[in-house]
Amino acid sequence: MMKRRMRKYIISALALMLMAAALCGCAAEPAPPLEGTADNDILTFADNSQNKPIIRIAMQHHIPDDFLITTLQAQFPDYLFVEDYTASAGTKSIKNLQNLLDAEEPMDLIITGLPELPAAECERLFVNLSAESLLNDYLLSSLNSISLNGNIYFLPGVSTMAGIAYNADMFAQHGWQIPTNTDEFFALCETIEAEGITPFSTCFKYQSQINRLLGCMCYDQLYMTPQDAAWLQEVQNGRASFTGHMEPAYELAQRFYDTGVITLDSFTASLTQQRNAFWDGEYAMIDYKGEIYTYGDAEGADFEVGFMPYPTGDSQYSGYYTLPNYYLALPKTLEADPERLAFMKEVLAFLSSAEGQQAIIRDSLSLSNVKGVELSPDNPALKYVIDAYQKGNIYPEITYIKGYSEGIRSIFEGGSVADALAITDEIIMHSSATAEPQAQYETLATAETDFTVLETSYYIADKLKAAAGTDIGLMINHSFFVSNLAAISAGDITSNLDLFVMKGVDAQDCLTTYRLTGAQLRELMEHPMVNDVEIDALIAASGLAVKYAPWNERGSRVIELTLEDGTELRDDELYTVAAWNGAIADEYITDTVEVHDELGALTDILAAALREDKSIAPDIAGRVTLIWPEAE
Amino acid sequence: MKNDAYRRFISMNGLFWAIATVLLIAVALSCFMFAYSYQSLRQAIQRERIDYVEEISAQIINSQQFMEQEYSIQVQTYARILNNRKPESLEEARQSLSGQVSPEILLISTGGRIINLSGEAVVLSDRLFMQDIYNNLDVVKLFTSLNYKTDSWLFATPIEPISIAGTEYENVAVAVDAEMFRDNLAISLFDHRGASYIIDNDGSTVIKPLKTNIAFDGYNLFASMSEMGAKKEDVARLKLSIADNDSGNFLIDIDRQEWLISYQHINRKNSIVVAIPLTVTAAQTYNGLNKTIIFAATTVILVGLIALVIFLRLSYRDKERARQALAVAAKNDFFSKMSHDMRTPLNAIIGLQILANESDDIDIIKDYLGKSSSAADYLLNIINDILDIDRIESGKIIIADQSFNMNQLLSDIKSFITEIATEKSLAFATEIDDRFETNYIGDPVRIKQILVNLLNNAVKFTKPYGRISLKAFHNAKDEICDEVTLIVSDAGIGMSEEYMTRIFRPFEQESSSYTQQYAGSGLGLAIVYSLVTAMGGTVQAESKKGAGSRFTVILPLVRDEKTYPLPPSVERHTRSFAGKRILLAEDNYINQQVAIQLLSKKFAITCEVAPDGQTAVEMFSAAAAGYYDMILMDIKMPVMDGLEATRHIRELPRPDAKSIPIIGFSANAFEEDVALSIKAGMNGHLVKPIDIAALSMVLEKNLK
Repeated sequence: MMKRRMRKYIISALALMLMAAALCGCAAEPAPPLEGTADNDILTFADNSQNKPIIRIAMQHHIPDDFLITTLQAQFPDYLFVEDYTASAGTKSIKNLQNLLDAEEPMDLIITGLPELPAAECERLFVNLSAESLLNDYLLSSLNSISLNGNIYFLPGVSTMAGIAYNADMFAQHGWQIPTNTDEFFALCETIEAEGITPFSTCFKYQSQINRLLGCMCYDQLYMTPQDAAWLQEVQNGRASFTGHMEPAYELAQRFYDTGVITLDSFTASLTQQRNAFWDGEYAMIDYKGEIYTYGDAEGADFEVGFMPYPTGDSQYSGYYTLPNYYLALPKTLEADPERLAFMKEVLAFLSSAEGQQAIIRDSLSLSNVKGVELSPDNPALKYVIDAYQKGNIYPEITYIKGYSEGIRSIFEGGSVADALAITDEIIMHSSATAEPQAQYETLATAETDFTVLETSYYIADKLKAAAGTDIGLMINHSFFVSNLAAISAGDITSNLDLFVMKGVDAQDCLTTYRLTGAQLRELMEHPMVNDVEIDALIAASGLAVKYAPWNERGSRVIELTLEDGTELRDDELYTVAAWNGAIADEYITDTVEVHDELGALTDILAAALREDKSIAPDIAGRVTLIWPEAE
Repeated sequence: MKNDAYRRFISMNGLFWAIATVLLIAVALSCFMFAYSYQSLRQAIQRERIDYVEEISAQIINSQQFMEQEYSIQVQTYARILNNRKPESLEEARQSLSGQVSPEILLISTGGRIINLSGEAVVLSDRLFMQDIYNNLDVVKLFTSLNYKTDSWLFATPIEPISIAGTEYENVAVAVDAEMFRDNLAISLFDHRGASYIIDNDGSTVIKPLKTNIAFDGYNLFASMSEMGAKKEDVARLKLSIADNDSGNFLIDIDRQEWLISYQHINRKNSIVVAIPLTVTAAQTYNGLNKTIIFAATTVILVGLIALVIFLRLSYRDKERARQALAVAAKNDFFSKMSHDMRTPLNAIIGLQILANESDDIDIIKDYLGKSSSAADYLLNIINDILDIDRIESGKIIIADQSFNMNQLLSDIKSFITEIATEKSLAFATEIDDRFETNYIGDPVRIKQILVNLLNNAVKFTKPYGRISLKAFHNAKDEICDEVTLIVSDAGIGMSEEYMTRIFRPFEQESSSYTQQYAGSGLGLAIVYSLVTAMGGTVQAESKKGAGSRFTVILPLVRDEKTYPLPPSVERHTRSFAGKRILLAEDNYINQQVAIQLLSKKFAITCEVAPDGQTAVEMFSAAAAGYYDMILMDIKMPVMDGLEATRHIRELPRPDAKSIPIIGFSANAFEEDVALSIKAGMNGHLVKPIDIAALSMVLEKNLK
């Protein structure tokens, strides 16, 4: 009996030794890191412990909610789809996209507006989809409209309807009626304003919105007849003038200015802020696309959103505007990896199917370009648009015309309609006669090496802290609004700093010094919020040191937070913090110390800093430690 | 006769090669003609495909023009009706146009509003076309989508303004679903493997079939072709041709398949392209063609084979005839020679017996009978030789494997030859220079036969007072085998060189006065050669005309290390077996008498005769045990043969059934006959005619 027990002990001891040896063997050769993990950047906050292949979707178009990702993830569960907004950095996003593609930045799918690029450039940058059978289900007319020399580089996404969204509850509460023509609209605005509510908002920062609002409210006078169509074609080719045709639109702009319904602020306003004000009940009406419903769901609208057609002078023409929402493209670099390219074509095929289209449309007022896909009768907004839709008052997009925006802006600056038309005509004639001069930029500094987005965010945070002279400088990293999306490339950095212009920031927003307690800072780092919505983002914090686990659940990502020198961040102590207005939710702020409007825009602050630095390199060591799960 | 057959054979052979050459040339010509015809046929099929595709293109263009004309006429008709009726409401407009078949009739207002006759608004994807409508007085054709739902072709034409519900309409249009055009103009060919496409000059597809299995999909035909693997230069060629509004066709390789691309311009902007994979679509035709060719080739080959078989058969038959003729000639030669050789001693036997019968002088009679007996011996030898050579040639000869003593064998030979040599006053010298110490395994009878034949010849062809000799010695060949050399020499007449080349062929004898005097069967040396060869040995002859001959036989023999006692020497004198009784089973009366007389007179033995096997069994059964001392049993007998009778006797339930000596006594003289007798239960086998010495030995052995 004793012998048997001894034998048992010996066998157990041997087994343990073997296991220990095996573990030592494992430790000797660690598994390669999981895909999507890096020491100096965060690609996604989605947990990829299963080490799925990551599919990067380069976003140039902000899609509310993450329904596209959710849809693709459900359809292709063996992959991890990641939105990457780097490609939408700055205001010249197409140029940015070109640069990224030239630099062969990894991306698998591009969601973009239809870039105005020559066919040869499209052939160089994007996969030619002309031979793909997935095009068979698209309306041929929709493909014809975007073909370049008979080739298709972009798949049309859904076409979104644009109109005037309104607070239906507010309207019902006040007994306001939907205006059927322009006069009724202005009368309503007067009534609403009398109630102390801003009646209407639009964002004239984007010419497309000028085009849309003024064009639709005068559609019957500007674009309806065959003569109008002929004029439009001529003026687009620089062979006709606005004067003599576009007066109704300019006079309407004058009326908006005169009545104060739209002010000059509209040219620098943030669409996001306008939307938030709309959700807050500050605006009764807002010029928006049908995706306002998607935003309403995502941003917690607590009232019913109505959607009225743009009123026209003659009520029978009041209608909606349709414009392509976004386009899908595949980067040419994929052709180097046929297997990956084949998979991405499979993804496109799914998105082009009826099932994929319905997943994209959801509750938004969008029209599919795929045959057989129609608005669902269950769409909650359908009741608002059905009347105009049946009347045929659905107006197609009017192509961008140079000088329109400048002419209209001059009216809001006090100019006359005639002068405004002259300004526009001058630009039209000038642009058709001469090529735009090549801008000359000054070299400010040199980057010794490529920066990641996170490293760039830290550089900016350092410069904000220095400019404001605070304890801490903050820059939201790689989100969308009030966030840095840029990555500094190695080499010369010129004064063309457009890449650093943030989304959702208007001219009034500037660098501000706040005071936050240690506890507030800790909460801010754990739950960053923009426009009252919590976001997945790490805030680059100059002056702090953070150990951060991006794939942990929200609320448990900040593993350790101290001051940069390692000393404790005390909960009850106040720290001065430099951040851009809007980057810190009000609830995290103890008080505002100073608004640094004298420092100008972010690009101004960066230009000064770069000029002084002359040579820059990434510097995040010891300040941010990213903690990723070990590969199994 | 031999020469004729040979000449015929040579003649046949030449004919064969002549025919073969002609056939080869014919086959080569056929192959060339076949290749040429096949190529021509392929080209014809291809040409037919091109014609077919061109015809399809023409039909599609006609259909398109017809459809366009049809809808143009239709919309113009509607315009005329509306101009005449001037409807003021949609109801009136519907009534005015009732009975008109149209996919969808649209009214287009001055302000660009578009409604159908039900009053529903219609939204077009592109409004710029409106200027085309209003700038034309005729029919305008446009491709657009309606209400973001369907692609349509719009045929619009101006009308005199009509006012409906406060809106003034200046154009009427017919909207035709693009699918209707597609169904009529885009054709899938060859089970969807090929298709027709209407394309813009830049390659973008305007109309294509709904689904094609392997044809080009997607938006742009050129891009699809490239994607499928078409060469750049081929696609560029097609692009250029389309851009130049050319018409034509060419073949291109796409993904290792040959495609026929036919293109024809329709108008300034559009062309029709028909693409079919020839490799696939013509496969069935080619398969049929190939099957036909294979069938034809098979038929030709079969006919050729049949002709060849007939030719070979005829050739074989001639050769067979020649061979049979040769065989018949040989047979005739053989029978002629045998007739001569057998009639000669028979003549002596018969003649001498006649003379003996007619003579009263006992000495003269004895002399005649003695000579007659010699002639009979000679005849018996001839018969034995003939039988032997027959068995050798038919492969039936069996070489026994039994232990024997070479010294004893040579001693017997010496005794035998000494006797006949002495009779002819010849000196017979033996030189056995090395005593054979061991027995050998072999066939002593056949070795004796070899030596006797050679020595007999030596005696025969050596003149009196001449000398003959036998020399024997052995050499160890390997561990188990000796080479035994036996040399027979004589100082006889010798042989010519010419004859030496054929001395071992049957029936060959050199002609001379001396040989004619002692002519034999001419089979002896042939038998010697065959037996030596069958034993794995060699025999060589050396001779010179007039100087004698020398035959050297070398036999490989396995040594038998066992020692055997020498058999007792046979006393050559006869002895008496008085009181012994033999049962003789023999059906032939003469043979019965010969046997009875010999046994009684020579050996004092009593004989009882049974005429067949059955009787023999019965007589033995009826007799008391030990009554008979031996049974001499003929083999071939009526009622029951000797073998069967022996088996019955051996099975009888009596004490002497197993022990009584039964000796076969038959004219069946071959080894297998002896073996059959032993197998049936006999103790020995005597061959007819009776050899007294052999009989004496048998009696000695079994009756003692």
